[in-house]
Amino acid sequence: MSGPEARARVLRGALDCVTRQGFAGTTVTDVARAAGVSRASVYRWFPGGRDEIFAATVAAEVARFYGAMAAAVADAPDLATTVERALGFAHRELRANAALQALLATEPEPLLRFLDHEYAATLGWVTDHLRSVLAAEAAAGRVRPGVDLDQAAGFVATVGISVMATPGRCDLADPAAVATFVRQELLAGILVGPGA
Amino acid sequence: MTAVLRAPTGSAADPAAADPAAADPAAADPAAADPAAADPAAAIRPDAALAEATLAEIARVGLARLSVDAVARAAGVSRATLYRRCPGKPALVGAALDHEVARAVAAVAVAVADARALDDAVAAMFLTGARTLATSVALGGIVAADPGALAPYLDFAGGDALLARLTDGLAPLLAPWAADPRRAAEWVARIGIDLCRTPTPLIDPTDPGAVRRFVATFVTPGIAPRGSAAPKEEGP
Repeated sequence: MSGPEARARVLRGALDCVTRQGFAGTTVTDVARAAGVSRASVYRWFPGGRDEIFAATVAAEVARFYGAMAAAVADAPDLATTVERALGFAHRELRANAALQALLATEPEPLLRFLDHEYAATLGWVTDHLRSVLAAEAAAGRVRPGVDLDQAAGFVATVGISVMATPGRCDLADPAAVATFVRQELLAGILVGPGA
Repeated sequence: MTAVLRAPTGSAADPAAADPAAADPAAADPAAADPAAADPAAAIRPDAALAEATLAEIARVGLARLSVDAVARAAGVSRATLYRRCPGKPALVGAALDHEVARAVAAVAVAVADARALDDAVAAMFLTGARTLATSVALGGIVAADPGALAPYLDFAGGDALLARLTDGLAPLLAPWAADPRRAAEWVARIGIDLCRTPTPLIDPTDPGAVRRFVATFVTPGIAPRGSAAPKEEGP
């Protein structure tokens, strides 16, 4: 087994353990057993032990989530559709994510801390993706004059991520409600034309 | 988020008195007809003495070392009383944050009293929020020492609760301008929280010109003005 492969196995094992037992109920021995490796190999990859394993597990899950989101929006024809699909994807994925739901119910505090560590990185990925979509909208003459594309990408990324975790009154299960939010609020100042 | 959580010292004016919606008969929409929504602070006022003792204790020792017993002693209540009102440390911290939201809403109510247009009002909300961040010893300390400690109050269930409280506070203040004040308030509240939270600041929130441009570009185009047809959306 190659090094990266062993590391990935440890992370999968850790994800299984924390989904079933939570962070507090998971030991390095549990992770090693679930991954089918020795405790020594776990420590070789994660000398910091449990906290380092958990942080890396959450980081890997976050990366997987945004990778799948990028695939889900890859063929969206425009900015509004990109954001709508991303929000719908996030809603379905987060609701179906067993580890997330179990930990939110039992140990939200450590989970949200680990997620918070990933926030700057995820904001960067989302902003970069949106910047390229916005550039295409600008090239097609659909961005309002005076809108700074970098600032607009950062704005849509920041607010979009916040809606995923904290939807407020926006019912993300309802595509019509998502479209109303995206076209009449989120992008209203950025795109030309009524209803974006 | 922390920028919107504390009023500057000495601005504890009665928010209802400074609330332009309070004297406006047209503000009698469903949101403003709710007695709690008519007085933004009343909707979100927790036990003030406990909240202030909690904030003082956070300022002294930090969030991680906050002791429920020390708060009970400082507030002059028994441990049992404190637990009855706020069962556990997360509830205590949540109540303290609610208290800061109420103070921020009171300060914002004063700041928007002179606004002559929606852009002015929303810019004043953001500027007041940013100014007040610098004056909150407790929250400033948490953010400096360990910003991740606030995550449970900002994301998922905690974030929805904070957003709802801030929305309740801001809705009456937007009633003079917005076709759907609650919807507008949630939009403004969300952006205010996000602006204070993002690690890559979109604007300098203390620069009035930058805030006004930001508001006019990204925020108020998402608010249907009063007198226009409110965009179709299900009620609260």
